[in-house]
Order: sequence, then structure tokens, then C-alpha cells
Amino acid sequence: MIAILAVAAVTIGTVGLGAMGTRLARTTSDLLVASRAVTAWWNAAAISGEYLSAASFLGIAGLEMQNGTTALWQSLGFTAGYLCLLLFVAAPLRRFGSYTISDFAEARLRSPRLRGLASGTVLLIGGFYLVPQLKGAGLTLNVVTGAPYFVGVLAVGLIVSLNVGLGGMRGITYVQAFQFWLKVFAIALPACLLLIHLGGLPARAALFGDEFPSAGAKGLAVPLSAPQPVTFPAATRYTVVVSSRGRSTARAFDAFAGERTTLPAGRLLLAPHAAVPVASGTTALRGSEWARPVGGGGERSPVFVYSLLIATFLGTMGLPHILVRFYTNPDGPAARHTTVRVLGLLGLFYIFPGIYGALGRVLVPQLYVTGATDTVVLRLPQAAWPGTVGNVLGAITAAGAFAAFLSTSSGLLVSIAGTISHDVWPRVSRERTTTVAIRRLRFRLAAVLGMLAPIVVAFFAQGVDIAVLVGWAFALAASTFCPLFLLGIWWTRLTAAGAACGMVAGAVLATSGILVGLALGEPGGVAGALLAQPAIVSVPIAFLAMIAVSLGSTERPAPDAEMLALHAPEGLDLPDLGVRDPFVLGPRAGA
Amino acid sequence: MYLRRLRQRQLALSLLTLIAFGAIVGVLPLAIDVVPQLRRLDVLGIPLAIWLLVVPLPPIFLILGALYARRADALDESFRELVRRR
Repeated sequence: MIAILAVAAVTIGTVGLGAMGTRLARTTSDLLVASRAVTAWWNAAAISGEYLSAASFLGIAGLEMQNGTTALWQSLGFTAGYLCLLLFVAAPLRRFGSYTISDFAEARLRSPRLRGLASGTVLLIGGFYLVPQLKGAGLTLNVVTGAPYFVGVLAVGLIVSLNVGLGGMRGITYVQAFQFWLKVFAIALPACLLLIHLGGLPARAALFGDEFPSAGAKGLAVPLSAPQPVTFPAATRYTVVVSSRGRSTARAFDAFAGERTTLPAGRLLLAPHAAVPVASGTTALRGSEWARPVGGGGERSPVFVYSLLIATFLGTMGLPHILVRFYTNPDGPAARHTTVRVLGLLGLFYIFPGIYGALGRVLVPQLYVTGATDTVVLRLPQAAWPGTVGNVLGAITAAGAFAAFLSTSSGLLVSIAGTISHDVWPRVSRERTTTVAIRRLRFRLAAVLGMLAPIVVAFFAQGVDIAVLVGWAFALAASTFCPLFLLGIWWTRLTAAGAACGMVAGAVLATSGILVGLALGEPGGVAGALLAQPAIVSVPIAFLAMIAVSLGSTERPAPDAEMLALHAPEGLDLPDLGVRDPFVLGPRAGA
Repeated sequence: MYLRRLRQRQLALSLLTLIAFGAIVGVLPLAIDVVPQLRRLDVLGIPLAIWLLVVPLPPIFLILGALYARRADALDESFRELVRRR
């Protein structure tokens, strides 16, 4: 009950503040003028607030519980991504004045066709990134209210669509900054209180020793709403209670180690200290394996870890909703200093998700049975501290999770809808002149359209971990936009043809790796690791394709003006060299 | 012409920082995989490998980033000086 209220409060607050923010900052340039007064700290908190998504809030802890401490590399990569952004992109891009990726592609390489390609990729990445946010929403509403998974997906999809479509362009800087501190509070306070309450990490044997997650001293009862295929890691005696026509019948079974079976809907009773069965498709890990940050096969192998680090490190700069935020920095150096602060703020946040994963392994092992480890952050407080305190803490984490996917998916949908209404639509309808009213209507329709595909995919992606889904979006961004930015900013000889070839090669490799991996049912070994996270292959190939085709093409790039715009420090009275300033292009559709 | 030199210097600085970062983060997964002592040694009840993964890196990122931003600003400033003198 408290949790429902907390979630409702966060939702109403976000939508309400967003609407107020729009009234205050009616046009893009108003927003920009206002932003000159915003300090680097506010800006950094706003960037971090938009960045921390369902993957950070729920996904890392869930993946850690399931796959072990390998998941912690992901939080490391999420932070380190901003280092790469700082080193190569932040200041030049701010000076260049392009504030969407499509604008940059078109202006730097003077190619409207490349703009089209970039827009398509924005849609793909944005869609891939929206799916896990919706999945998180479905799970959270399910935990909080008991509503079926699809209700939550639909509800949040609708809320975000309405919020974005009805003019909530984006929460102004202060709203996003507030969201960041809300999320830090919502994840840090329960974690600290639970650690104090439990007196440190309990049950070390299951965490770092030789044991599988166990049913605990009192045994464990797991309600199952549907038949559940599982694997028993060790020889276990268990009881299944099935009720039909008002009568419940209990039957006892003996499982041998490694037995695969399907448990019927009903209740599973495990004896004290029995090893907990795991949902099929996942592997039960002993404490020593679980605690090993790297080593083993599949998604625990060094190849996978390196590939994941590359994807997250290089992918952050290619996320469409992050780049826009950098535009609220007044100049290049300010963009640098804001990014440094972002590194600090994210480092602070990512201390905490790992604590939930570890505690969850001990205190809510029933999640292993259904494979719903993504809900560990939501379920842990009640399990660890039954009673009012646990309920309040649970409400806090639920509210934080909601804040996470509301802010991220709103930001994403703004980028997607802007791209659809600005780049895709005119191509379809071939009209040149449009009034503001038509553009606004178009943006609203696009906000609904842009949400449809992710909602449909989210229905089918219930079984895929949030962190895995987000890993794909990063892989895609790292293999397309990362080479475009790095070479476009620092290499004078990049041509439009080269950029196009590299982006297509990267996108095709990354997407096909992911799809083939899914089709084959996530095979093990090095090949499986590469299919699950293809960045270590697709990123270098995208770079090579871009360089090779650029060197080979007859097109002669003469990007002096663009290079000046990218790299010349502020405060020099430079002549206007004809680089298009997006201020002149006017406010964007829907703004 | 001067701009090209500025660009190259900025790039060199970025790459230098990247190498420092890569040396630290790039070696860590391999080190944890290859050196079993890192996993077996317990510090305050938690394996050393987990401590290494969680504690030192975010502050290192922050320090690297801050140092880089300072040097990059200084390079911009010296370029500005150069242009003003001409």
C-alpha cells in the first residue's frame, strides 16, 4: 500500500513537474538561455539523473544475483563511458553546436543522406533501450500491486507517451537533477539500513564459500503461478502442494543433483538448508564461482567481460538521450568540467546496487526458482526486515525504480519522436513547408508511434534480463556512433561514404550477433559469449570499415571549417566559416 | 595550421589518458582471472578480487578525468595566447 502511494507520488510528481517545466521553458532557446545560469554541478546531476535507468537501478543487482559478481563490470563500464565521452567528445561537440547525433552527422560530413542513416540508427538504439525500461516497469508494478506484467508495460508506455506527446519536452535541468538525488537516496538508504540491521553480509558460505543458495534455517515456501521448469543443483527432497477444486494435495519428491523437471503451479516447499532449484536456462553457482568476477565460460569468460567493457565504455557517447543534455553547458570547457562531476556522481550511485545482489542471494533465494532476479531490489527490503520498516524501505526502492525508468524513457522517447517527426516523416510525405501546428501534431503522433514497437518487444522479452537487454543497446551504440564521433571529430579525412559503410557494418554485425544468439538459445563457450556481447568484434570492424572506405573513396574532404568549429577554443573572434549553427535552424519539432 | 597543432596536442593528451585508463582497467579482468591469490585472499571477509573491482576504480576515473580536464583547458588557453600575440 505504501509502495503504491510512493510510486504514484513519483509518477505524478514527474509528469506534473514536466508539464510545469514546459510552461516555464516554452521554446528550446528559452531553455538554452536559462541553462547559462546553471552550474556544472546541477548539470552533472541532471545528466546522471537521465542516465540512471532500469538497468542501473534493477538490472545490475539482478544480474549479479544470477550471474555472480561479473555483473559489477557493467556498473564500472557505465561509469567509464563518461571518461571516454570526456576525453574525445564532450568539448568539441559542445563547440560544434550539434545537439542531436543526426545533426552532427549531417553538418560534419555535409551529407543529408548520412543524416537519414544516423536517424535510423537512433531509432534502433532508442528502441532497444526502451524495451528494458518497459520491462522494469512491468516487473515493478507486478511486485507492488500484483498486476500482470503486461499491465505495467502498457501503463508506463502510455504515461511516458502522453507526457512526452503533450508537450513535456523534457524535464528541465532541475527536475532531472532532483531525480538523480531521489535515485541515490532510494538505493542508498535501504542498502545502508539493511546492512546495519543484518550486521554485515550474512551467510558467507553461500556468497563466497562452496554452497549453493539455500532455503535457509526455516525452509522455504515458493508460490508458483504457472508451471516452472527448473534444475536442481544438488540432491534435494522437496514437496509440491497443488490445489484444485478447493482441495490441496501435497506430494513429496526426491531430486538428484542435476535433475531437470517441471514444477506444477502451486507451492514448492523446501526443507531447511536445502539447495534452491534454479529456473531452467540459468545456472546454479556455488559461492566461490559466484564471487569470482571473471573466469569460467559463457557470460563469465574474460572475452565476454572485455567485450562488455568495450560496449559500455564506447557506447555511452552514442546514446541519443544523453548527448542532448550536454547542450545545456555554456561552452566546451564547461562541458568538460560537467563530465568530470558526472564521473563522481555515478561512482557514488554504483556503490549500492551490488549490495542488493549479494544480500538477495542469501535472503530471497526463491527468485532463483522463477528466474525473476531482476526484482531483487524491490523484494529484498521486505524479506530482510519484515514489518513496517521493510515495507517503507520497499516503497522507497519501488519509487526510485519508477523514477529511473520514467526519466530515462521520457528522454529516449523525446529523441525517438523528434527523429521520427523531423527526419522520417518528411521523407514519407515529401512536403517541404509545414506550419508549427502541424509539426507539433506530428511530434505527438510520433511520440505514440515510437512507443509501439518497444511495447510489443517488451511483451516477449519478459524472460531476458534487463542488464542483458541494455548491454545490447550499448553494443549497438558502440559499433555505430562511437566510430562516427571519434573519427568525425579527430580525423580530417573521414568521408560520408566511409562513415555510412562503417555504421552499417557495425549495426549489422552487432544486431545479427544478438539475434543469432537469441535464436540459438544463448549457446555457451567463447562463441556464445561473442554472440551475447558482440562489441569486441563489431566495434573494431566498424572502425576499420570507416577508415578503409574513407581512404579509398574519391570524395575529397576539406573540413577546415568544421575542424575549426570543433576544436577552436572559445573567446577568439573567429570569422564565420559557414558551419551551420543549429540555433539558426530554429527550434526543433515539438519544442 | 596552429589549429592543427592544437588538435593534435589535444588528441595526444586524450590518448595518453586513455592509455593510463586502459592499463588499469584492461589488466584487471586478466589479473583476476590468472592470479588465483586475488580470489582466495579475504579482506574483511570479502575476496580481494571484489574489493579491487568495486573500490579503487571510480576514484581513479575521477582523478584521471579531473587531471585531463585541467590539462585540456591549459592547452586551450595557450592556444588563445598564441592567437592573441599574432
